[in-house]
Amino acid sequence: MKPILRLEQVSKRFGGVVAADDVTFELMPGKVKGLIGPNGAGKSTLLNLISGIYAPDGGDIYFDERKITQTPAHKRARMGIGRTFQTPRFLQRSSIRDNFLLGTDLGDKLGYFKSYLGCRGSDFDKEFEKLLQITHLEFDWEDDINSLPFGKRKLLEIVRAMLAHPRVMLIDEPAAGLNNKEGEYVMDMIRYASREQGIGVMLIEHSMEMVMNICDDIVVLSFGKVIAKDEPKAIATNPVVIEAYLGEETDD
Amino acid sequence: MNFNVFVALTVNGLAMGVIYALLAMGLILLIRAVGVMNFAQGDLLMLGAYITCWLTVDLELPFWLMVLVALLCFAVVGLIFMFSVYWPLRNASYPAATVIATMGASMVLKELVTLLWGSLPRSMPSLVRTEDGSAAVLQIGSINLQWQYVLTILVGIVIMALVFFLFEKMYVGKMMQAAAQDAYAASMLGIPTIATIAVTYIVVVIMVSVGGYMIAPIFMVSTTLGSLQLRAFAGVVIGGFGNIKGAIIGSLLVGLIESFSTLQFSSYKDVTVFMVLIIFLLVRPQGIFGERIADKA
Repeated sequence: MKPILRLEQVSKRFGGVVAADDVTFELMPGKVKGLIGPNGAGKSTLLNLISGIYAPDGGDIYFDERKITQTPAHKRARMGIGRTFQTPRFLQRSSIRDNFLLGTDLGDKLGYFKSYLGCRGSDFDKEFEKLLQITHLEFDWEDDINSLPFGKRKLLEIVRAMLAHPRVMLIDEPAAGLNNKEGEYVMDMIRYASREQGIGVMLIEHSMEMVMNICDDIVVLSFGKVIAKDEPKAIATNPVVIEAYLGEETDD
Repeated sequence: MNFNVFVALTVNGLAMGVIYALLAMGLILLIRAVGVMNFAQGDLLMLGAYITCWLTVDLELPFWLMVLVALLCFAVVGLIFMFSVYWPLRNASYPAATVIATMGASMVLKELVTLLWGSLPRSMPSLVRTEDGSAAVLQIGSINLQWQYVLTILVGIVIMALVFFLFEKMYVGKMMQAAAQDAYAASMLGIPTIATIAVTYIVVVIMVSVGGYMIAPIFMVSTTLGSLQLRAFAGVVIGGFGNIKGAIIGSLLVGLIESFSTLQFSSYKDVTVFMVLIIFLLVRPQGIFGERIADKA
């Protein structure tokens, strides 16, 4: 099987700060790859490089064997790279319905000219039902988006991204701010996306429980550098990783 | 003041208010979409007046063809304006650069129309004319109203309603709002920011240019039309900055104040308008519909 996403020696600097340093890895369809590392390690930067908000200073990014290093972000989204945020980002002062109409027409090959008319796929309702079942969400279409509590909005953002039929999902700290139950739903959702839909998932998460539980393999970043790539069990006992997290013993 | 005078002044005031409202609404749309205060707003209106005057008077195009060609010209002007005044500076390290560029654009536009059509004010025939070519008058009972003023109000209202519909009710408007609120999140939904910004610029230029077309027969077509934007600024502040409803009502208010002040002290109408603005800034700086920054935080 071919990787759905491949990063080759990707680098990004902000002034003197190296946010991504020669990062190389690949993501297979249907797999969940955890992206962990101490704060400021460059995890979100990496997601932004993949989604196309930043252009890398060096290296290349491939999606489905096609080079997308220079492809603008909105085109990458239409190719099938979905992204959710640490804090959900919705259209403000708008109903849940409007927010959904905006997000769910990406799979359409006719691009945004057709989506201007608000078209969407015919299997929308069935699929939607299924996703709401997994996330245990209930709401009124016409309600303002902000009438939903934070946790539900976060789940809803993942549902919206799923409805666009992505082939890669970039999920940024889905469990932050969620209660245990909602955390469970997120995991169910990620399992459904990867195991059943064959989506390649990149997951940034600080909850080690979730990462260890759900990831097929893990990439550990520190100061923009990949310091370890392995399966969860091996990562947990990797001395280099433990040192990066807890710090090296020094004299000062 | 007798009733006839009252009605006439109200209609005149509303007509001017509608023009200011078109300018003001366009200002707010641009601020929302790209965060730039456009100091060339009045000059775009002036350019619209010149273009329609050129098509009508010089080229003598029939009305509907003129409308078609004019709309096309406005759209092109919108794109040129966006890609020359805003786009190259959008990532400038000083955010003020994009605002100052609009001041430069204001000068360029004034000089441009002078180069193209000369420095003498041009006259434009009214939309509805009597047989000898002078402006027609609408007579309702004993009230005489200029057709041009009445039409200005109607056209202005239709345009504002269309733009409101476009932004608030249509899917493309939601896309534009999304891109304006959060460009990154919007691009993750496959919305190209460059396209939504371009549409905003086109819509704004069309709005103000139509305003210029309607106002041209009332005033002369000259570079002084650009200064109408000062009244729109006043309207935006009085209505509450950043709020479309406020901008429209504030602008209508400015038009009415201006119109009724001519009754008492005609040569001081500018003074009256800006006195009201100053009073608002002193007493209610957030405007009629504005929230105070302190309340927002």
